[in-house]
Amino acid sequence: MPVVDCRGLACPQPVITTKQALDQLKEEDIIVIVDNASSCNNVERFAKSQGCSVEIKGVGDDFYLHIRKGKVYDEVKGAQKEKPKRVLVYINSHLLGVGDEKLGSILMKTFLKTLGDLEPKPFRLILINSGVRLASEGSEVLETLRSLSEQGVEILSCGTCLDFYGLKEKVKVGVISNMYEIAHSLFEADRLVSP
Amino acid sequence: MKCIFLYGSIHHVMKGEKLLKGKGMEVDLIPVPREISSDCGVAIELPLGLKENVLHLFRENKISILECYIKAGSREFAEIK
Repeated sequence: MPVVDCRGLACPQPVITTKQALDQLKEEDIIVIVDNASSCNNVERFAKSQGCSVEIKGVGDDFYLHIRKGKVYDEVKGAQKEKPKRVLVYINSHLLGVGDEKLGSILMKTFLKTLGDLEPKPFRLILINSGVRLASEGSEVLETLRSLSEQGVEILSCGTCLDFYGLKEKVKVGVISNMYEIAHSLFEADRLVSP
Repeated sequence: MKCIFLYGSIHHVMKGEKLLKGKGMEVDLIPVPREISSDCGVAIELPLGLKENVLHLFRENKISILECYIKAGSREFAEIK
């Protein structure tokens, strides 16, 4: 059984070394030796978070962690690798950038068109405050948003904002949403893009 | 089929768009396709049938064009000299 000696290493090195050993070694079991309780706890927590089982024995001043990879480790690793990043685009104005309005409108239009060419697509696009104008009647980017929507991008317009601008009956693409769903989206995204 | 006009300045793009929309023409602003240029920029896209008319209007109004392309496929562009 491979033995990974992490005695004398400062945090977080024992966790990093353990991770490398688990990733590289084919063996199901490894022993990690650390010389302090905090490293012992950190390595144990890391190994368990990766689906391994851990048995700890104190030997003198050192801790011997017997880590068993098992099947779960590869499954957890696989799931981490395969899961695509969920990108959320948060648009809080009908203009892009601060400055000239006409320019801001052109920049927003070209930004949204460029999104259509990018891969992977965001999973959701949130329109808030005057951003809701983009999905409402009279907007110059309705076709662009429709095309994004057809490609699987969920488009959410803030209901309060639509109400404020008198556009509730004029939404032409996507759905009317609420602050609960918007806040939840912001928290669950892996990455937030706010142009 | 569409054609795409590239300009040397965003001010020409805005002036051109205003002029053409004022004439009731179906024009669209698009990001300059990366196949044509790596520069950041905005271009005007319009139906190919309007090209001659538009070129004439631009000459009359002193709006200078940098380049003109025909959109042959979804990502194919042929330059018109």
